Amino acid sequence: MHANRFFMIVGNIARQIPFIKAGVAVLLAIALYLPTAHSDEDPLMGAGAHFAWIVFDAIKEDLEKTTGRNIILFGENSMLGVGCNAGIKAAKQNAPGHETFGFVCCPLSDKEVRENQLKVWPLAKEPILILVRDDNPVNDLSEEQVRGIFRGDITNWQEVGGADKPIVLVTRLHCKDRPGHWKLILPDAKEFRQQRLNVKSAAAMVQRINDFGSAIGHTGSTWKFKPSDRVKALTINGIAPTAENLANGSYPFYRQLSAVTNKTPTKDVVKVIEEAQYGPSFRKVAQQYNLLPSNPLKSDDVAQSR
Amino acid sequence: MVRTYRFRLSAYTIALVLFLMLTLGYTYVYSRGVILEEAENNLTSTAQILNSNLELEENELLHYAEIVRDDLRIKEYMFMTAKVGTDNEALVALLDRQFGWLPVERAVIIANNGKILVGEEHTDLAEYLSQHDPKADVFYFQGKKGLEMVAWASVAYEGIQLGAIALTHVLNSAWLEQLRQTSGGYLFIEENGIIQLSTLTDSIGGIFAPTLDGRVVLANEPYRIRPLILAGPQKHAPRIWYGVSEKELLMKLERHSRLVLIFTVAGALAILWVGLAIIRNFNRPLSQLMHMTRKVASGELPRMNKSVPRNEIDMLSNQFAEMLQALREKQQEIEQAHKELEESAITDALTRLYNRRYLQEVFPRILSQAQRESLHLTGILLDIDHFKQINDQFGHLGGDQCLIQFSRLLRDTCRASDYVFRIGGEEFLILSINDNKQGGQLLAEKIRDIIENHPARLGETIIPMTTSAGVSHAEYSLAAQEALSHLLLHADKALYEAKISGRNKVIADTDADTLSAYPVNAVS
Repeated sequence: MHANRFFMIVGNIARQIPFIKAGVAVLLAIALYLPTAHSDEDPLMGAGAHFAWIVFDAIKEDLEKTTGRNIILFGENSMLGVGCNAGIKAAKQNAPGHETFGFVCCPLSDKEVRENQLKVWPLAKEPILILVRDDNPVNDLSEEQVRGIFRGDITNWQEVGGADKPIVLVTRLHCKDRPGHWKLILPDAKEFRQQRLNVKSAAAMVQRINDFGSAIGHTGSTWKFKPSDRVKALTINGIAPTAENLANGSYPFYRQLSAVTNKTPTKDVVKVIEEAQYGPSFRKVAQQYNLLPSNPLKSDDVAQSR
Repeated sequence: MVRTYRFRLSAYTIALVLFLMLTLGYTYVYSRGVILEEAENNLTSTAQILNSNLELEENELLHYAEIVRDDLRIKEYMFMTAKVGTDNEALVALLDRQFGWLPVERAVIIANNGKILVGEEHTDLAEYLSQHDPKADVFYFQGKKGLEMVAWASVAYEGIQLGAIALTHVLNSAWLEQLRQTSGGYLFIEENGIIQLSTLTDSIGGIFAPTLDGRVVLANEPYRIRPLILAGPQKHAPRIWYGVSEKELLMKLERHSRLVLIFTVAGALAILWVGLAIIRNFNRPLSQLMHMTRKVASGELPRMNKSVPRNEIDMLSNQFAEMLQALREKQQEIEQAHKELEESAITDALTRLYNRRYLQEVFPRILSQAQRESLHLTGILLDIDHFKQINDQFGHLGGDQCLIQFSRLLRDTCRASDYVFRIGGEEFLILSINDNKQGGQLLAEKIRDIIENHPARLGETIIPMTTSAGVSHAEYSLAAQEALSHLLLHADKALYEAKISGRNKVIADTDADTLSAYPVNAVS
């Protein structure tokens, strides 16, 4: 009985094949047309340096309200990758129906901006934390001591008032061709101590600091430390890594966080970025992570007029 | 005797039994050698398998050591510990966190300068490693935990030789037992001639002194042994031996020999039983056939019962029985024919009375009988009166009817003990044995009367008959033929008297003198 029904259905489908073919052709045509058409249903997609999926994720809801568009942020677990290069790639891929933008954690060189036809949207300055394990008795170092340690002039904590333990230096010398960030500690990778641990990610950096009681390393302040992490940030010359101290120039180590787009970002992409640059929600998160916004807070009218 | 099937079958059965016993005997002797040889081969091949297993285990352990060695963080942390001089806390924690899952007994990391970076509690191994160059990826070490398999991998970081990592498997009783379960037999770990560990627990601590031919005696029991090849330097190193008990091997042989014996006896009995059954089933009907054949050859035709045909012999016996039955029937037919022939030879075809030839033959016997019983033998010679005229008047058919009627009346009238003969055309003779001489004459008179009163018939025609009779008595003093001639002569004389005196009369020969007046040719 079921077999007869099955063969009847198959027979009906076979008779309808010409109509099915026509239907498939129409659908294909629509599918080919769609990428070129703009629709408010399409999400805006952002990717890049890790701060994006920490900071922007926190303000995503406000941004979506502002633009009326869904926003997808590719971050830590994305196959698209993270980091500044992924941000630049996302900015270049922006196209109608495929609206994308990126994030970079350091200032781009003029050459890079020119060659990639990019537009940089400064967001905030982020203090670079000098990290040690929480059981290290040292809480403060001078700017020169930091440089001495990273250079290898100082190899024992005893030399800076700590315990008699060899210093384990952990570095993450990323974005080597771009100015700023770790280059504010030492301007060239060659100047760093040879006997050090080089890591590829902020997570690895934090892990190494956790593992070695005598380690010292660096990372940006927009990092979600886990409760189990046994790390602390040192003050430099007694100055804490805060937005205020960045603003008054007393904290020496920082990096510039920016959004990047291609030369023709869509209205909604611009709206998202400007909301981050000038809107109140970003300020709130920036305060949480000690970020110093690069742009002044504008009123809603001003922000909308821009 | 030698050529009989019974003898042959018996001989074949005995030959089969002997063949079976010889075959199984040879099998036993040969298989003993094969078993011993196979035991040697098995010992060698099992040792090879164990060597392969051991090599796999060595490679696996070495692979683990290489996995640890190739981990970048291990290298970095070793670098920090060995070259920067930080404490080993981070390295120990990393090793535990990243490779704590590895199924190894101990893990030791030492720096190039001999400093123990990880595994300070394993001082015996660490000191050995720091003081000796193993010169091999895998080697064996007798430490405080017993014999251990050690995989050794040197570590370099950014072109700098940092030290080495060593991982171990302890070869303890559990390990030996696991190895034994895959191989059977026994395993011994021996060092400097002393058994350190063994699956044969009684032998631990005993002296292990192998001979050149691969044997060792432990607790007065011999074992066949093969060494397992261990990686690394062999000098002064412990050795692992695989062995099997010769006693257990011989017990297997004993079981095998018992099995062969049981099979031999059972096989011989089976063949004997089959042989006897064949002899019984084949020989008995054959003997019966032969017995019957002998009887047939001696002229007998014995009765033979048929049986339900179950085989060729039964069919042959039944066919033989049918053949005997057919022969008996033929014999009866022949006897009947012979009897009829015999009767036709001594009787007259028309009257069915004895003929003259039979008279010659039987007379001596009748004479003897009468003489023996002291009785009188009387001869009554009868002649149908005017028989020629009857023939002329009624034809030969009428004459024949007279002869037939006459004969029937004679037979009906005479006693069973009397003999009636037709000795001529219309002449008949009766020999009658009586108590006295008057008996015969009375019989003759009675016959004459009956003949006269019982004429013959030819259709509706009545042919009257009368007869004349001459009676005489046998003379016992004469020989048989002479007595017959004498009897006939005197009876004929008396008949002649009756004829010439008017016929239809009976005349007894009472006077021998009258014989002279009787014409000689009248008798014939």
